Amino acid sequence: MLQDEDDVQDQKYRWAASGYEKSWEAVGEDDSGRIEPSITEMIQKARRRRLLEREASVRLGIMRHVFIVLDMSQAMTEQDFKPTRQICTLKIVEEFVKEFHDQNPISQMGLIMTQNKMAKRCSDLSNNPHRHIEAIKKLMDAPCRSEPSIQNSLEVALASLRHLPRHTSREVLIIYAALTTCDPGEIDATIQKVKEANIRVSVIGLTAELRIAKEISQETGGTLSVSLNDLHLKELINEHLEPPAASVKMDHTLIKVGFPHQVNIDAKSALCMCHLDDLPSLNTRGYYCPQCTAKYCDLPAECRVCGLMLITAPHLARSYRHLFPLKHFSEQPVEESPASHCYGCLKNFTSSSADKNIYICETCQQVFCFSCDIFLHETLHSCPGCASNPSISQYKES
Amino acid sequence: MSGEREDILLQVNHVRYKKNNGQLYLSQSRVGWMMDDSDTFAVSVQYSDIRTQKISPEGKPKVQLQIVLHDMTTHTFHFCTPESRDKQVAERNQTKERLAQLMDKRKRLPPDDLVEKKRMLDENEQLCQLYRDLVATEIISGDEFWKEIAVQYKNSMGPNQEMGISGAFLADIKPQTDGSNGKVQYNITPEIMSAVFKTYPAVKKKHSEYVPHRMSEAEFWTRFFQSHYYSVHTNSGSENVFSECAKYDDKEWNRDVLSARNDPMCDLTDIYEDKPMSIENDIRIAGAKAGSNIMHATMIKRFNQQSVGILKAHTYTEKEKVLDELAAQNPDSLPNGDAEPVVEVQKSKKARLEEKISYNDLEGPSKVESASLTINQTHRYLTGPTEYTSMQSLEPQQVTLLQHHLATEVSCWTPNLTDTQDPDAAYLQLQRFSDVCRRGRTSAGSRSGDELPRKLHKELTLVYSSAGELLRHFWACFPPRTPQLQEKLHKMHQTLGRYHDRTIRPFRDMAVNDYNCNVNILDHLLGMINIANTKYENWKARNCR
Repeated sequence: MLQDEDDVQDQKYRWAASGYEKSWEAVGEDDSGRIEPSITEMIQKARRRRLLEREASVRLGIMRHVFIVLDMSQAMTEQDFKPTRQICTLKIVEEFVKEFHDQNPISQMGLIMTQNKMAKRCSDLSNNPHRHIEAIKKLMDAPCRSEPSIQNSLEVALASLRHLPRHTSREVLIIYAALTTCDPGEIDATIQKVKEANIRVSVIGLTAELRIAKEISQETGGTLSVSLNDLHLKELINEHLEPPAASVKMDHTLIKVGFPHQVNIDAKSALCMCHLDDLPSLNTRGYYCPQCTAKYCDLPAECRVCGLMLITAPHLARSYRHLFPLKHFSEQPVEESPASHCYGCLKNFTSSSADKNIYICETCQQVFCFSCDIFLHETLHSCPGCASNPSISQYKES
Repeated sequence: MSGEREDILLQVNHVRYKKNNGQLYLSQSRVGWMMDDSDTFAVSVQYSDIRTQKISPEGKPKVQLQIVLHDMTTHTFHFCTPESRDKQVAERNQTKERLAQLMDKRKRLPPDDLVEKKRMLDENEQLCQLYRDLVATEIISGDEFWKEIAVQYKNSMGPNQEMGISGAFLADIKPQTDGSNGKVQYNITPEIMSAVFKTYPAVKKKHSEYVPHRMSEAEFWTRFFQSHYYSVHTNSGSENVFSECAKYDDKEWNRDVLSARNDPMCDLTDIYEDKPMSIENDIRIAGAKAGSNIMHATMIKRFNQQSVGILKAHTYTEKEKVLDELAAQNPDSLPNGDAEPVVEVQKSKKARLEEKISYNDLEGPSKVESASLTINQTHRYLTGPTEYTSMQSLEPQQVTLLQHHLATEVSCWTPNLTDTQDPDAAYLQLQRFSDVCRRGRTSAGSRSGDELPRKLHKELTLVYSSAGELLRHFWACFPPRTPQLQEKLHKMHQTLGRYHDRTIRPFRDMAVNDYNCNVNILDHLLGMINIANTKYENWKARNCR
């Protein structure tokens, strides 16, 4: 039986008629045909949402011990992330390592890679980013083959993290591209062990969401996300720069910390303990541990002789922004803006600009655009309007 | 030997060892050889010490069996029954099989003694150096060294990992074609072999029986693959090496299928639109639609058997390991042999139903319970510790007035040139200041820095390294809460004293005599040891009151 023209046009497939959501249509093309702006917009919206969700006055685990597990299997040779997944991911991880040590000065990080059904520790837990960056550079040239093993990598991480004191926040971040895992035994047993040791495992997938990844992250209290492109991957990895909320099981204790002075009047020349392998020179340059007077070139460090944590006051002060976060700005449509330009970047709010909303600081009533809002909350952590207003910045009550 | 009740499981006469006639005995726990006309064992080896056994190849005139121990010593026994050579071979084979069985029962991993230690010393330069410095000079004993210092390095080597078997391990064996005569070559690596052994235990047994004397490795594996891939035609008589394996596999498969739990939520027989006739017929389970073609069904059955084999091979060892760990944590409560280990996550039916009907993404964001933090005195975080002074608060008008006042004062200030310092004294001070600035702060540092001769420098780093290690152990004892720690503290104090005498003094003398350098280079190290001593004295004084 022939059908009319109208019917042919309206005829949908069965699955479409049942209200199937076409989620790919959310990513549209703009006038020049590029889809990148829509992905960046998605990323920015997600960022803002995340900032809103984060509450103040939550206990955070600031002393973190993080292991990054890198998948170096066959799946990393795919070229959907330019130039290959391996190189793209390693570059992003390298920058993450530097940022991490910047923002979390009293935390330590280690690297594990999994390949050929085994897992190998590439660099131990330490708060010196140079070692990790060297390890990453070596990995860039390493060949990717065979299948990865989640169980073996968790076992290797467990072996190191198990012996740490209970007041630290232990985390594992798995960056996974493969769709399979080849394990020597029951992974459920390993997951139980990981859970008992209070380790949070988060997974970032490059290909798809795996059931086992979901299970692991849910059981241990971590997060699971899958990246859409390389910008999104960078975003997802940088989410882990912030210290996570402390679980209720974490102990809280007093930690003994040493603050060495740089200038020592009656210091004796000594060899530094951090470079004993490479023939350090005998001099008084460096920091002396207040408890045992061993010398170290760089802070933060953990004294190898007496086990005291050595940091400087600015390092510790960097963590204060979590204790006193910048309050959220209120969002208003751009038409109701009291000012015609952004206070931070002097951008004019004309009708042709892409801004739909403007953001007003509650305390100083200054107006900021969307990018400034993100910048102030994520990077600067203080409001320029409040800082340049003497009545607010000097006579603050709190 | 006396007082031991050992049953002799096998006795073989006419066995020669080192050109002497005698008898070989296999008992429950060891193998022994006794010379004729003697009643003591000349050779007695526990099964747990034996690493492997070897036999002489077929063609050789001497029929021998060699036992290799963990520490690489060997014992060779020569079977020389006067009856016939075949009997010799038979006896030897019988011995070998029995020994293999008994060894399997008692097998344990190589003990962590010499071999392990050697490996650790080889791999770790630092550890080797520390060993030489501390143990060779008898500052601490060998046992202490291995117990305390080496343990750290062992932990850093990572856990022993096993490799899982990939589901595609057979399919991944890629052939290489020999271009000229069309033959196809398959490379079988030891990994593939071990994967096959783990999946098919029957094949492992056959391998140990047949290779290397009944057929060569290559032949064994060719026959294995032929029988595996052309499994349908097993009734061709030439391949009956593996027909036993196939029968064994079939028996296992039936057992597994029967023991599969009857789970209404995961019922595989329910997926076909026309129900199979009976469940016992495993070919039906393999594929009702495919049942029409026996070859496909058998192939599917083979695949299933392989998968089940892979799963079983490792889950058994994993369960054992976990049970061992649980037992180690509570030595008092050994789990019952039949009890389900705590590890197995047995979800109740209700939980599983809930899992199936709820979908995480559809629900609202759940509140994660987190510890809350309240900060009471925030000004302590924002400003440094200040003396408590009463804050004088000023009115804004007063501030402007003061500003004005300050401005006028500054504008009408003139320097009072008569009330200054004496110019000569001032000039002297300036000279002194510029001198110090010119020398810079690092002058004190570079005094003895780069002038050390290289060898001395190296010696110094070694001394620092070993001293640092000892001091680390010393500081790790604080605070000494348990008696063991106190004991260790006393010992470390003595060790430090010994170290000072034996290593530092000679080093200092050598530095002064041989290299003629400043005595100051060891000052810092001596300072560190002094601090440690002071701490010890203080603690002792406080505690022995």
